[in-house]
Amino acid sequence: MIDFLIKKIDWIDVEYWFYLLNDLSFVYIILPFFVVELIRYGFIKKLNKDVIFDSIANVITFGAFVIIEYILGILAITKVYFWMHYNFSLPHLPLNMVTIICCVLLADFAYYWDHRMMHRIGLGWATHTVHHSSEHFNMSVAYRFGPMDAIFPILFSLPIVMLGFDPILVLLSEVFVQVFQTLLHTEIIGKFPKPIEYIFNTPSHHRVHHGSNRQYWDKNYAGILIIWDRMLGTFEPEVEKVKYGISEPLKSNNPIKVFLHGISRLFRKIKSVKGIKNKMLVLVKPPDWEPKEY
Amino acid sequence: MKNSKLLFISILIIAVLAGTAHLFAGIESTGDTETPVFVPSPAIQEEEEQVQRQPETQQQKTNWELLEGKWEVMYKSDDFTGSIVYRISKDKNSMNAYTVKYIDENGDSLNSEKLVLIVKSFSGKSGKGTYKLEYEGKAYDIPCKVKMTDPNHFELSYSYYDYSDKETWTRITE
Ligand SMILES: [Zn+2]
Repeated sequence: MIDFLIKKIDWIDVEYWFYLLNDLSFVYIILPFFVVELIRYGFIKKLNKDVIFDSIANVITFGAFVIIEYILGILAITKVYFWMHYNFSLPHLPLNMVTIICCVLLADFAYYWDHRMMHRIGLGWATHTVHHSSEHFNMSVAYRFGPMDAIFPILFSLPIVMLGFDPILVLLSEVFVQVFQTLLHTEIIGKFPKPIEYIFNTPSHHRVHHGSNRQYWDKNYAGILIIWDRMLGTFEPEVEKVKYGISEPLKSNNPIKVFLHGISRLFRKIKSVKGIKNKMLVLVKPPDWEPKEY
Repeated sequence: MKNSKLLFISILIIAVLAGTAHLFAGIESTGDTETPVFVPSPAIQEEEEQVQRQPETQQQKTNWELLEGKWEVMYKSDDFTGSIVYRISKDKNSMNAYTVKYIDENGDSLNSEKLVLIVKSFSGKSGKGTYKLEYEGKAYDIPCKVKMTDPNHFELSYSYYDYSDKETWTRITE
């Protein structure tokens, strides 16, 4: 057993596994799932223009996100990650079963905090509100990204690189968490058996996260494991039927409006508050924060 | 939940996960499975051979002698055009090939001693082993085959996923 855990694994194998899980899963699970969801919408008479245009907007925001991610990838990830890895890092870890699993779990934990921060500071919400602004809940919503969604995770994954994990492994793990997360955006699956719902983030838990019902705000930030929410006090089970969307609805499927509405709302808020200090605080305080003088 | 408690739990989680990874990394370095890059002294070699003086090993030993010596391989790729001289010698239970020098197309040479090939079994005609390749800064251990075409040539072939290649090793006497 221990031999299996610490046996050195070749890079080419790791890259191949992650290729199967991260890249090919789009073909063998996400796309078929989305088709089934569309058929379901047809059956329950919800397959209307709004769902279609919403999905198209989702895919377009994803395209914009990928372009930003790509530019950042060339600038930040390859340079900063490796530089950190070689200059400010604990001893470098070998590639084996244990280090890979620990890296995925750390990436998942980083995802939790990244996600929590995006909900709880103004600047984070300006980009993450894009993802939450859809009033539907299907796999295409998972691809609805905001303009700065690629930036914040870097802050949370750099510490993993500094702990001695290979930057490429960290990156692959992050994408794996994201892909797992993608699969949760569905109404088709009700609830899993209790032990699974206890440990893992599930569609049920994530529906709660997307709820605009008051008790569902800022809950269930998890990527793969819901136990992070249970440990850190942000867990909420799905009881009341979820109303999807944000408290101040967007009411538009224009991809440009969808992509930039968070930033424009943030700028409007900065303009509206008085004093430099308050203007700065808008960026770092929770999105529902208002200065005291008001 | 208080911020201090959040911080405490988070640091604990990170410490456990990173600690586990480093702990298991430590185990690996003590039970090193990689063949160290050194040639055993004749005394150790003799002792080793006494331990495993079985008919089959004996047979293999004579077969293995066919691989012993210096070999040269020509390369022509984007990375490197020229030839590499290798030395194959006997290790505990295998034949190991080490680089001796790189000679580029202009005839400039660079000395080097690096373990690149471990032949684990060899019948006298063909054998199997591990080829150590470096690609984009990462090291790979790739299963490979060795096939003797005549006493002065053998073919080293390997394939990994969609990549495969074949090298011809030619015996040299210097
Ligand atoms: Zn969210």
